[in-house]
Amino acid sequence: MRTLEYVRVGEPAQAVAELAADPAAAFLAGGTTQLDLMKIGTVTARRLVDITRLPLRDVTFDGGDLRVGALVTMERLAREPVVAQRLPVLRDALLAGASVQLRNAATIGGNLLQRTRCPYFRDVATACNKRDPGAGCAALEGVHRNHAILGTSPHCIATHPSDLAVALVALDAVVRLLGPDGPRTVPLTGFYLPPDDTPRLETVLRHGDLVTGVDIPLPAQGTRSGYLKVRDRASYDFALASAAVVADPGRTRVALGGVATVPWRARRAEAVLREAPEAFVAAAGAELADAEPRRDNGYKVELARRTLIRALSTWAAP
Amino acid sequence: MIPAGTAVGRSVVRPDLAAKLSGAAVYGADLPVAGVLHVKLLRSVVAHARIAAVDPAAALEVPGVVAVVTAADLVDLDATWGHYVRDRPIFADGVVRFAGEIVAAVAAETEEAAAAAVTTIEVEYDELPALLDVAAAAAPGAARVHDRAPRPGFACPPGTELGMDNAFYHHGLQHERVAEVDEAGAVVVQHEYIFPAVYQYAMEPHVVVASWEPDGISVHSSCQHPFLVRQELATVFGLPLERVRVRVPFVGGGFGSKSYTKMEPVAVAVARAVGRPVRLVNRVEDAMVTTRRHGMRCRMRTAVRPDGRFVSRQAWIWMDTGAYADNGPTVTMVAGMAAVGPYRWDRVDIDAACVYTHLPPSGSYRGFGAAHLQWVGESQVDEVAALLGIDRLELRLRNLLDRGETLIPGQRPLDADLAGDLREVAKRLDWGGALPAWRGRGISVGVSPAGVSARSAARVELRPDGRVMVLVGSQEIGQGARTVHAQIAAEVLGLGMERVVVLPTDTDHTPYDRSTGASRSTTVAGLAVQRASERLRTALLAAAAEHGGVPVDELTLRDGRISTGKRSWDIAELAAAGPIGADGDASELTGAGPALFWEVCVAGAEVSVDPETGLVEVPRVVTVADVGRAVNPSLVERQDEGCTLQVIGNAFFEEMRFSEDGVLLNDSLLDYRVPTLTDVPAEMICVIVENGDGPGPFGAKGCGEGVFGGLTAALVSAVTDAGVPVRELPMSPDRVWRWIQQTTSDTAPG
Repeated sequence: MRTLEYVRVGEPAQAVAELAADPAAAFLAGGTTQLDLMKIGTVTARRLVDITRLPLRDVTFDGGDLRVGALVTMERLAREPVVAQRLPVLRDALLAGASVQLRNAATIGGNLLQRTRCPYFRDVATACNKRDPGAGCAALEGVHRNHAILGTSPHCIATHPSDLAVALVALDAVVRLLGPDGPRTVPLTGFYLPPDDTPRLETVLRHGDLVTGVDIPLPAQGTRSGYLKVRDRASYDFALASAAVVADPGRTRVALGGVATVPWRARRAEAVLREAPEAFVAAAGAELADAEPRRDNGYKVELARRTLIRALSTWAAP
Repeated sequence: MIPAGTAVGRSVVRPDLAAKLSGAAVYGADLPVAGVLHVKLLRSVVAHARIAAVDPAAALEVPGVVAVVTAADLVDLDATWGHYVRDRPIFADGVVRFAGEIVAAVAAETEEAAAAAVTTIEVEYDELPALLDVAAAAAPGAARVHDRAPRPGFACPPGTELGMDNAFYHHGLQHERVAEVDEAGAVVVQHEYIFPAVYQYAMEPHVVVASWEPDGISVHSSCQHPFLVRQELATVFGLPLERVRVRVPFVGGGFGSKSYTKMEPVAVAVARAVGRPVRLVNRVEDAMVTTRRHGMRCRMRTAVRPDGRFVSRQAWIWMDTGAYADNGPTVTMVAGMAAVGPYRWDRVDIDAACVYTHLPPSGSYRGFGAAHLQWVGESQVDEVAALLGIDRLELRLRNLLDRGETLIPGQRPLDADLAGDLREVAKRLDWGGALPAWRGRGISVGVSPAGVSARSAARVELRPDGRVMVLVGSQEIGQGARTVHAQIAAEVLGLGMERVVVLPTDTDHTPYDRSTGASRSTTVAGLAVQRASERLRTALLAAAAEHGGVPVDELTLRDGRISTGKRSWDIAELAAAGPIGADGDASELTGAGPALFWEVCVAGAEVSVDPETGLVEVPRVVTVADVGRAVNPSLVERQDEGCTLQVIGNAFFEEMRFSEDGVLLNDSLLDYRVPTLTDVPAEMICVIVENGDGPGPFGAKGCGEGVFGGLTAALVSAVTDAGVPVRELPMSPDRVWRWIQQTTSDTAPG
């Protein structure tokens, strides 16, 4: 029978030490994804380090940044008055991201680290380079209607599933980490790694690194922002395409979800908008110009283009 | 509208409501069973293979494991089952024919031990080519899924022809009113259509508790047809019927997924091997490979005279029943009937084939046949209407059959006012009014054979405590059967609902009932309850006449009291010396073929299509519950609303996706999309039509399935009306978007 060790820790440093000492250990926070993946055999941790007692549950306002502890739940953050008032893009993404039951359990740190919904990643009987490097990718010729068209590689086309991360990438959020060598920070735009030829490596995290929080720079007063999620079903479903728009005065930031291997900061669209703030169609076209659809996900190119145009028309129009 | 009685015609609160809402209701997984072992199943990971070896050694080492059971433990039995075709081994016997087929079972002291052990069983498969496409499987020269001649099961109608090909069963309908060929000027529409494999999703997956005892088999099962399960188990395990006892606890939904036999044979086989009671609880991923709705391919042709008179319809239908027949032949027969449509044709020529493939088995699912085919036929009617420039409603009204006309030769004549039903829908859809671009309306009419068998009996007993017990074998699966049966008994016996109790089924005590399906619980089992209640009433009045020394015709029975002028007694006094009971049945119901009545499938819908995303929204649906008499109007409305939501799922979201190797990929409720409350149409109008024309109690006939045929077709019709022709379900946003692109490019100039 599979055995599992469980340990509960009270201090972040202790959590990091526990993990660093055991290559087969993993953190456990809300558990809404981790336990599911362990049951189906995709994640094979033998030791769970329960971090839910760590003092990482505060939401504070510090000068220009909203500082969010890694263990703050999705529901709690969505209901923060400052989020509702100043960060509608974040609120929308949180509320669209999961049912209320899940939002009450799932944490911000865990959400950023959630794993792809690619069925081949989750089915241990099939080939998946992310789960088993070198095994091949069954999605390339398999069922890939909801796979990525941006940031793909010949080794992996799995879509990053998070809504929250898309909003945070557009907001230039910064991840706070504590690792065996001490604390550090990483901009979220540099946090996720495209699959390239190492799909197993999804982030810059090293074993033992603990996400302790996220710092979100508040946009200027009067900034309009929002998150548009398009999906097969009106709730309890992942995005087929989504767009986060943060229209600060004089500068529009954009990110796409549901179409890319990582939360996708749309730099090309932003470049077009810097020159021509209302060239929404051109901006969307530029972002999708190099999209690489496969047999069954070509619709996403047009869907993403139109989703982005609609989001820009809603929040970035003068 | 018929005036309400004391109980019938009233929306009384369901007696099982409090138990279900409070959590007091005991379901199969909750049953306390002393010494029970937990069973986990090892299922094949490949679609078609020879089993070279099964090695359970590692599993037997797991602490708590009592036994690993395989086909090798059943060699003293003819361990195959199947009510229609006896084609299914309890455990794969040398060959697996679909990914998900049961290869072995682990019985252990804890569920965890069973789950851990089952993954350690080593199976060596020699893979074989798999037939996953119904057309390829039906093609001449295709390899056979089964190499032996099909053996009729115990419920196979005598005289049924079962062939050796993968297309092992055909239902043909050929009739001619006018023996000619289609005239030269006829408008002809012909296309191919696809319906995907979908899953019933009852909230509670299958649960069986089984024990093998010296005096026979005892089973508690979440099943819809306990008497047929009893018969199947008796057949497979070689016991007389009276040595098999099936009891049914609360059931968390069925929709056909728990019809006939499902998990009972394997649970009993394990109990027999270990000599202890066992509990087998399916999870969703198990249930999805246990039964599903048939995927379908169809080619249909409709010819209509230029003046709008219907001439001929032809259809070739292939129903993918998977690796084992289950109820496939019945589904295929009903699909063939649904392809005809309730119209006055000169000529009809239908061939519906039930086809084996190497996919999980398919069986009954609410509204089967009508759900598959009504939209196909009705979309051809719409297309003809457009070609002839005749309004869609008008074209239907001109060609619809009237009450009493023959629908299918040899079957019950049409027993409903379909034109009246259609007009009810049209009125509520503002038929003919202008709509903005990308909005559409649809309307559809059909019927489906229902009732299936008159074999239902009931016993109604007055107990010494003054309560009346109703014993009837129709299962409460959420549809409200117990409520309706209590209302019928209360009405006949002049009792308050609080004094009537409908007992759960125990095949040792409950009178025979064929099945809970085909919308028969109110009509057929309900008639048995009515007749038994009437006999009990007569018996009570006779007993009271003797008790009081007064003639029977001077007595009245109301509110549980028998009165004669000035004196009255509570009926409880009559039973002081012991229960008084009476039996009744539904044998007076007659009808050739499966239709004891035709369930009406009439509905309408309004949709709005987002041309940029392909997303379809449904602001309004109208369903017609042409029920003869609504015993409980609120339950009728809930049936239509529940079915509406299931139709929304089948029409827009749901689709079982199989890999190229035949493995189900979306076997979780996150990846397999059933609708949620946010997908409910903004407006759901249920029109209850009470013409008193049903053969059941008080003129009732069944409901709850017709919406599947009617509304699926109405939604297709509405999306087409909005500008997007549909030949394949589900109408998922990506498909709709693609169809919009194709339509636009097809019609682009140059």
